[in-house]
Amino acid sequence: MMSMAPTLAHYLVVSGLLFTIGMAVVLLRRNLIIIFMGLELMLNAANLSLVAFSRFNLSAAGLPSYDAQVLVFFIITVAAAEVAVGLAIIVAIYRSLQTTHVEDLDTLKF
Amino acid sequence: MLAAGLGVVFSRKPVNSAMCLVVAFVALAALFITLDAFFIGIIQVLVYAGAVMVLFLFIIMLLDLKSESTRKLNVPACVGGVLVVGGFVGLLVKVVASNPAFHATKPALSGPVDDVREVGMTLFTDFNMPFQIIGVLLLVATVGVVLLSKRQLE
Amino acid sequence: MTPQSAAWFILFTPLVTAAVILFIGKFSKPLSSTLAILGAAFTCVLSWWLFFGPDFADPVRLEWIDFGKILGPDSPAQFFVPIGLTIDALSKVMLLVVTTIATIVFTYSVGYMATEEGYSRFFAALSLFLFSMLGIVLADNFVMMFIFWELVGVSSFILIGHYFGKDSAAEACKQAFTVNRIGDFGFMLGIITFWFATGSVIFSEVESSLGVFAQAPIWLNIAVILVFCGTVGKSAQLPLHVWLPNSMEGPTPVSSLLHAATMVAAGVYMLARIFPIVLAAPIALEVIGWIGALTCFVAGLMAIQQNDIKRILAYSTISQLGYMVLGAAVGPMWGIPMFHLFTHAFFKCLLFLCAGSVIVGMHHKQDIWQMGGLAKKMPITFLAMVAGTLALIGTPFFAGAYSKDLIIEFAWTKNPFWFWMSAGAVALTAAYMTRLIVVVFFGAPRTDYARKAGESPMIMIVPLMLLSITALVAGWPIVQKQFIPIEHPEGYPGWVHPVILGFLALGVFSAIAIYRKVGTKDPIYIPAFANRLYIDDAYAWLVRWAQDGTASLLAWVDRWIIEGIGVQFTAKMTWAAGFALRFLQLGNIQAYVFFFGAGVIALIYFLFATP
Repeated sequence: MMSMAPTLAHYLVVSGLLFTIGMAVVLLRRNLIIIFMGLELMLNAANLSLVAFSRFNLSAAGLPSYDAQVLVFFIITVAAAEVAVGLAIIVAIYRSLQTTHVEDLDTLKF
Repeated sequence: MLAAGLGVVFSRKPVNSAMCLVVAFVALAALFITLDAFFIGIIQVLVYAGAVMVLFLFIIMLLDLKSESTRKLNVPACVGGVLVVGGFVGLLVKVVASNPAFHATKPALSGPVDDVREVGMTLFTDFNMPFQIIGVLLLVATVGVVLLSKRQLE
Repeated sequence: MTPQSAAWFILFTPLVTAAVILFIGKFSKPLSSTLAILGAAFTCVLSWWLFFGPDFADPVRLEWIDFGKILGPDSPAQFFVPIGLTIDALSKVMLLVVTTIATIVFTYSVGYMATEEGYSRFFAALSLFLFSMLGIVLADNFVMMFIFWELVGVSSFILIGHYFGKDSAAEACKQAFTVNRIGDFGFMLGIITFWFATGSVIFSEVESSLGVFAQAPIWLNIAVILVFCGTVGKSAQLPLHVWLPNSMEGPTPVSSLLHAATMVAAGVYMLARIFPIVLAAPIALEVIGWIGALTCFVAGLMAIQQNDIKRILAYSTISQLGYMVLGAAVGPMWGIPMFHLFTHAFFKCLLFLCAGSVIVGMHHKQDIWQMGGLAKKMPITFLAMVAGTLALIGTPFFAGAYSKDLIIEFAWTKNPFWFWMSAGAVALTAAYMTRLIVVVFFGAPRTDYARKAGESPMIMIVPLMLLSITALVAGWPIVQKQFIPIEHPEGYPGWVHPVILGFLALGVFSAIAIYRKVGTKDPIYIPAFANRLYIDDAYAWLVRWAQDGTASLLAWVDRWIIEGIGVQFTAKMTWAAGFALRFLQLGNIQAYVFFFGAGVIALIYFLFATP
């Protein structure tokens, strides 16, 4: 696979697999922090596919279309903010419940 | 990078998971560089690997998480998770294989690309408004974090 | 004033009077009664004037409803209802009867109602009644007659329930209207049948197009019987007679005007109006005859045991109406029933007015067993009542004899049962009327009221005297020829008249013998007759059964179907759905993500993977 030039399909598959791994983290791990890390993985997978599209769809002047890269910039910024706020929430949860195990958060259960 | 990602999934200790994640981010940045997106690659390393992961590690150390205590394995949840994951992979392969446009190779660029300048131009002209809003968003996030971290709400 | 406009004046003057009295009644009582009497007198004068003029060749018409050929161009049915006033021999004589008696009764009411409540309201209602009755008399088509028929029922309702504070009066006026309505339902069906077949509702046109029924004459009979249902209701024939005795709850002038002389006679008048049609329907004639004969006999039976002076007269009215209906069945022309209607109106009105005078003298007590010896206390009333009684029972040379005997003669020629029933009713009539006279006017006074009774004021006495004269002469051939054409049947045996006289004597003398020296109670007690053959009780049971049955059925439907299925079912379904969906709230983040992921996969699959 390394011998031929990577096509868009390769990048997309990698992005998809990364997204899948992120989802697997969210579904299969039971620690809140690690689930959160899985979220970040998913976001990055999206970034990768965006950049790949940006490179492969050239604009009129033969340059990559930078709209997608701007979007990636925004996504990184927002993800950073989200991590900050999310971790603050997790800390607050830990303070009140003394646990980060996701199965202990069941007060909204029927 | 994929191996690092798998590492995140299967590590026992949270710190190990965090380190695997850092490795994944760096590898991702390398991929960005191969795609001629230099600015984005550097930003990825600076922000994600630099700031976000540091924050994660701070929290892990603050909460003093040990390795995940073994509880009874929740079989239906695991099965559900595997199913979803498998389904997604299958779909992915199918969709990508079916579209012939995805199989073209990387087209050549017209010349050396000055992507920082280009990104900046696009950002400040076409996307100026979202840019300002992002600024407000960061302010709000900061205020929110400070508020959430108070011990008692006065 | 042309005859045509006179007809319109006759019809609408009482309506205007009623409206005016409604407005000014609160301010001046004497004014209300004066207006009412003037209105009635005006119509009376105009009626007499028209009587001596020629008949109208065509009715005076005002086109009202004209829907054209509403059943399609092929059928003859055309819905055209004019407001038309017919002036021919029949309506002229009926106009005379109605307006003259109305004027007399209005005058009498001034005295009777002097101390009663609702004075102006009473006169307004009386004027309204007069308007409605004149509408029936003058109508030239079925629909107009039906409208005024109902209006008469409404006026009767208002007048019977004049003392609306009394429960019995309220019940009575309700019963009158409802029972009438039952008859009117049949009447309406009859009108529709006629319209359907002949295409018109106007009397003259229906009469001339009876050939339409030639291929299916059963329909003509059915239509006539249905129309006759209206008569059964309005003229209180069996089995819809139950309202008339209860209508005596109204003031006595009402009883005399409506429920003796005019309104109840409207049923007979209607039969006379459509007489050519009735004559062409032999099965209907049979039905009419049987009902008439049965009514006159059975009502007489019921009257023998009544103790309220007005109820005795009420059952007597039912019995005489039976005679009139029988006359319509057996006579070859409309004059036969109308003659008895004519005489009966006068003497029955007289009898009721006398009863009213007695009641006023007795301070509004009506039980005959509380009266007695009133002949000395109220001589003029006594004489007038005797005159009326003699006329009613058919004493020779008095009015009733001529008209009643005529009907009995014709009954002999048609059906022996009818003859014996009507002849037997002569005996019964004599018996109960003599009983009434003997108990009320002779003997010793039974209570204080009777001892203190006195003669009534002049305004009430004068009408009595006037009517006594008519009770005597109205039947004499000289008088009769002026008003009503009749003919006698041929071929009835000579012993018919003596037999009738024999029944008459039997009734009179047996009543005198039994009741001459009697105390405060009736010596004879026949429960079946006293309880009016239990017909009233049967109706009450039927109504209660139907009402309770419907109520229980509806209660069941309400409880099980509307509440059970409708309300509770939807409520429980909603609750169950909520309960089922509750289990989705697992509270487990990973479960939510699982659902989320599954949803996304499904979405992508359906959007991109399947073509």
